[in-house]
Amino acid sequence: MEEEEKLYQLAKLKGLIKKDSIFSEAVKLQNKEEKIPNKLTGLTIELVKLLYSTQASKSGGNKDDKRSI
Amino acid sequence: MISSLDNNKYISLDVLKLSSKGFLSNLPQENSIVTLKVVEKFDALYKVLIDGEVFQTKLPIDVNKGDLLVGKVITNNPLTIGLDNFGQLKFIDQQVLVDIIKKFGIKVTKTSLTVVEKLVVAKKTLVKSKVEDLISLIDNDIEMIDYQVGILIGLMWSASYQRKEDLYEVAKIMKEIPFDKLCNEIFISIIRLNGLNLPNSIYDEIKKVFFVNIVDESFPNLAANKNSSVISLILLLNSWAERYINLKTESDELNYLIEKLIKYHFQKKIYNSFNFFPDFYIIINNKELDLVVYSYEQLNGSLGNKYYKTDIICGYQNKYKGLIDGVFINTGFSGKMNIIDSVTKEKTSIFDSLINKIINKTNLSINLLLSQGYTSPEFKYQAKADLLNIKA
Repeated sequence: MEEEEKLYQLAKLKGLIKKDSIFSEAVKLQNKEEKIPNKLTGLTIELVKLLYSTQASKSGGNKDDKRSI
Repeated sequence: MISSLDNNKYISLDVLKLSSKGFLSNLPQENSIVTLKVVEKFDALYKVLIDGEVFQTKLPIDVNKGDLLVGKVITNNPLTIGLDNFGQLKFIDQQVLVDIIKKFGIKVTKTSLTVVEKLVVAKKTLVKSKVEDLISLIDNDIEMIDYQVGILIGLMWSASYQRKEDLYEVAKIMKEIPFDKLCNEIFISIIRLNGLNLPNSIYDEIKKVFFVNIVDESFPNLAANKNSSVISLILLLNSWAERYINLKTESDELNYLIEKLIKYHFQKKIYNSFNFFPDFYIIINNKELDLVVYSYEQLNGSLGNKYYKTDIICGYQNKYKGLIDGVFINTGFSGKMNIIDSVTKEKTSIFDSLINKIINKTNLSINLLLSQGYTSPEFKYQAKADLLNIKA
């Protein structure tokens, strides 16, 4: 929660939300923990792998980008 | 005359069954639209004025003394009033909308018609003060598209709503940029950042929060609590942006990414409050990077079970790779997978073989149809997000 407060301060500082705005309070009240089943998140990654494998490496990406992954 | 009420109970959440001890001479006609003026509020009960008679009742929404509601008379003896049954989802009579607006004493305009129609479709209890707030928010904030209005309706009709001013910034955050476009901008920014010579701790943290390696099984999994990981990442990036203040390229890119990530975090929180969970990750496919934007919409089945409408869009900007959509329940997933290439026998064979591996690995039943197709990622997301309007 302490980090979240810092985030709101930063957002205010950057002008994304106004000082004294209760935007943060309004949203905090509705802050739901993501209760997505682990099985679904795991399956999502498996399905993405399936899609790229089925398309068999023709999928693009950014070959020209300089990256150090 | 104050009529104390017996047998005052709900038939459903938004239907009031009212009965009076006394004789009522002017009962409203069936199917007519009536106003309910709140004349007194005490604890969970309200005294409301309907056609000159005062009734005591519960209401499905918290309102204040002086508020005006509109309802439709279902039966007049006993007096039963529906607060959310002005039309069917697919057909709303324009005249009904005009009648409702006139009952409120509000000017009939394009905006007021749009607002009331959306509320009727969303089966919201119509309260004059909220309708006026919504109209003024939309009038002040031009070019709002459907799902943004839907989100405002959801927030405004929630128990925590106090003042319309609280929603200006929510509207602003949602309006500035669609979620999928925001994810694209974050992705591109991360790629640009990767071309700069920044400390490895920054790249490591970004990888930990957003990267999935779809080839290398030994690559660490995504952080378990993504929301707090994102906040930590933003604060880390900000600390480096301050240190690099004299290096324009680096600090500009860091600040750009920070701003996008803050918006991403806020938008997610707003969406999450509607049981809609959009997100993205960046995949490493051998040495190539790609963007996957996905969403889960949590819905309740008739037996109280939960299911999740799932959309996964692979590719970024104009480099669309394919999509998967379907429904997940605890025991399995059913849906379709569209790829950009034609579906050959060879591809079908690879697909079938991999599906079996996934079934063995996850113990889920999977029913997935493979086909060729193209969907604009942005259009897909827009169509999805519009559904919030019905839910709100």
